[in-house]
Amino acid sequence: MQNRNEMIEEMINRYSDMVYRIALTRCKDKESAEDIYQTVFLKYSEKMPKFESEEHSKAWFIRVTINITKNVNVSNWNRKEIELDETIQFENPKDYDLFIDICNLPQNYKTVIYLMYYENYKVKEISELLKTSEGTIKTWLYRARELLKENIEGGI
Amino acid sequence: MEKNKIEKVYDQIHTPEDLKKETLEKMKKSSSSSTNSKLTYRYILSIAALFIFTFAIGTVYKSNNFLNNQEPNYELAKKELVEIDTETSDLKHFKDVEELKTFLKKQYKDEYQFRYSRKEIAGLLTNDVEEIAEDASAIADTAGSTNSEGNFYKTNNQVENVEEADIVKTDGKYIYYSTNENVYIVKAEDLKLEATVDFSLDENTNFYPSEIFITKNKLVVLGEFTEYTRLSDEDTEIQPRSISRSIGKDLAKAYIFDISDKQNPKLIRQVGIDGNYYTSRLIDNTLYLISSKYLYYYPEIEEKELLPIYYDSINSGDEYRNIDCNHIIYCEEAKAETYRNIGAINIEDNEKEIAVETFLGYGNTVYCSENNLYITTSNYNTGNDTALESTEIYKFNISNGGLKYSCKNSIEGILNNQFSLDEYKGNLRVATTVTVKEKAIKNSVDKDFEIRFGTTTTNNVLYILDENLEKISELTNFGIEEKIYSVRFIKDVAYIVTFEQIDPLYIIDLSNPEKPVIKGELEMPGYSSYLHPYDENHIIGIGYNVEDNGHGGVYNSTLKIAMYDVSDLNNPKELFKKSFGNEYSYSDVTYNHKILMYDKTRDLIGFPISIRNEKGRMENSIVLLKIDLENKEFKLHSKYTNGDFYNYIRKVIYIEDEIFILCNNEILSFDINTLDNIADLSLPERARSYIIEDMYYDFNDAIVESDTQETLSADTRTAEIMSSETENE
Repeated sequence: MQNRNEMIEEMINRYSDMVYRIALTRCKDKESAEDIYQTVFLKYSEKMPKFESEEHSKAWFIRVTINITKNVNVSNWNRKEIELDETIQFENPKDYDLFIDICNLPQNYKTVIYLMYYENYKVKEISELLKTSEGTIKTWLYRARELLKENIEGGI
Repeated sequence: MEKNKIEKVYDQIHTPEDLKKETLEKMKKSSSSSTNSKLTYRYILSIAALFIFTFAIGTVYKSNNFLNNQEPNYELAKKELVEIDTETSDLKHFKDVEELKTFLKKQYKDEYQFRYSRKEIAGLLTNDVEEIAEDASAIADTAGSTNSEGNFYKTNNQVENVEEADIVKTDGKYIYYSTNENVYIVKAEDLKLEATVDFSLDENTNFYPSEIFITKNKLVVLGEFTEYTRLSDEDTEIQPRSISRSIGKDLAKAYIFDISDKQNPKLIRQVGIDGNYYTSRLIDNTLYLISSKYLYYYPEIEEKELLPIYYDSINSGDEYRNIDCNHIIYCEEAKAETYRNIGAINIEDNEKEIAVETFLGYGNTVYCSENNLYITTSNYNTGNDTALESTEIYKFNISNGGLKYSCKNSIEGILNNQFSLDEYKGNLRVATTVTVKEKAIKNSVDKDFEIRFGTTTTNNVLYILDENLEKISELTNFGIEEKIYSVRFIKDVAYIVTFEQIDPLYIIDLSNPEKPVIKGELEMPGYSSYLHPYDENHIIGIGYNVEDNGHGGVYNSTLKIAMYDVSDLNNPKELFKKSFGNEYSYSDVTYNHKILMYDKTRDLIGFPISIRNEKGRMENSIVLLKIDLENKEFKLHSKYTNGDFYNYIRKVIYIEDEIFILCNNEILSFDINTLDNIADLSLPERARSYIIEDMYYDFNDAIVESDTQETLSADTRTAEIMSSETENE
């Protein structure tokens, strides 16, 4: 049986980047993303939910992150783009452009893109994670891909 | 390619070390609040994903009855819901639950071995984008029905007199708009918000409205309802922690409001059927509600979990009922993954209970004429058949507001969308794309190899079936190596667009159902993914121009709208066309017919488009085009652009001389002639309760703060209507 601190360390090591990436993508703002990051992990340490499996805990962190970012009024940062600094750096300027393009997608679209292409969830699993029908997820994906197409194909 | 790039991007984003460190310290300091709280509640998190995940890792579920105390009482419906003529069909009804279980158990085993190879097939055969586009397309329309009482927007229905649900409806005076998880009733004249129908229920339930219908004094809101089940302490004590406790209930629900008083819509009835909302139709006063319910079968599943449920406020009170298993239709060959539930509700008659019909099988296309409802399911064949996919068509008789299963049949190939089906003079016409394995591969010894690496070729088929779905004739061999992109049946003629590199529009004469004949063929670059009948001699096609991608394929370059002259079936012509934007522009109208606005009296057509501007940002616009047959052009009447991605433009409608731009959070009205802005309305957001967020934190061992406990006992199934005055935020 792991003690509390060990579990906390395990979770933050396992999901730190994932939570930060989702928060950053959804908020398009570093400070908010950091706030959300802390909120998510503090929620975890307060509740200490018991997970049945790794998938379970991963789903928990994804959903909590998404739900907390829902409350953030994103439209305030509508025009703002994430700036490069010592914490966010890309090898290739094109990667940065693509990241900005993803961030500029509507909230649902970019979340689905992230879950599908980075976390490798299937449409069905995403629909269950986001409590949305598969058809809707597919529509979001389709539109998101259409919106992203130029950047992606242009770079071939 | 996309995947690698996105992966690469995110691989470079890491949590700042300071942040991680700081958070970790805070976490260690924070005490687990569970020790201070007086009462703990356990939530069941209804995330079905868990279920699957747990399944996947092979956790054995034990049958358990922890739900008994909290669940509404189940009662098997004893009433005969639907009469079914068992003699005439090869479909069967389950005699009892045991039979259903036996059937599923067998399938479960078959599926288990089958699943992997099938996924492979699906992955190999369908390009992702196409697959998505196909499914997302519930395209439609037909000449919009013309009501009296003035000139205003009507939903672009596929079949006249068969109303399709839409995100917005209008009666000429008021606009009813479903957005932001609310439904708003707005006076069109001055855009005054009369009422906000708010569906935030309580912490255990949630309803997301998606589409609506209106009748003279009723508003029907359709969407997905979820109920999360909470366990009492006693229940949780006796259950080992490792057992996943429950799945919340998902119901496709219809809330029916009396809207005689626009400021105070009154909820008079609610009905629901198991599963996710799929689609719906309204014919006269009968609402047909269709849902799909994924069947989470596992050997120890309990009876009440196994049978789909339904709910009707006029009769069930607070209870869900199970659909009796002898009303579930199935056929041996079908792969049973999903229940497809159909509910028929007379919205004007509050005495008559909902009638429910269910069948097992994965359904994906719904077509509805005035008298019959057709649902199709597609199967991937693994056997020795040459055709890789087949489609089962189930026909239900719905004349006079009834719902009765009538027959089914199976054809080769898969459908593009609901426009691939059409009923005319009692016959059903169906256009499918058939993927065939190459012969050489077919005879190969290594079946696995064959499935993975076998080359395939596509062909298209047009079937004409009689009223019993028996085949009258079929027309094959058009658009070989191409796929159907759009279909439109207009009386005795079928217009079919197939596409691979170039777009042939086939015109097929169906006047002799025994012998359909290809009359004309028109090839032009690009393709139409939606065909709209303009008048007897003209068809409008909306789709994309394409360009060679240099790798033997093509990509969509610009949006296009074209007018075809089909007065001479043998010699169709493209009269004129207009292209929009640049590469990577898109419009929802290419796969959702209900987005289209068409004002017959002014010859005005309107839809949203998205174009990437010079700065590389996507721009949302509404374009209104004047159709000018004389000068042979689509003349740009007006264009409204909104650079705000978060206030996405969803649709444009018109009432008399005004046009209304419907955004996510806003409605704007303009004079159709002068384009003067008449009024704006900001829509209030959904009043969010703490619960929606909290629910997800409290996955398993949730703790609810003590001051919120009072509200937990509130009736979970009462929709609250808030007038705009009481709306907060």
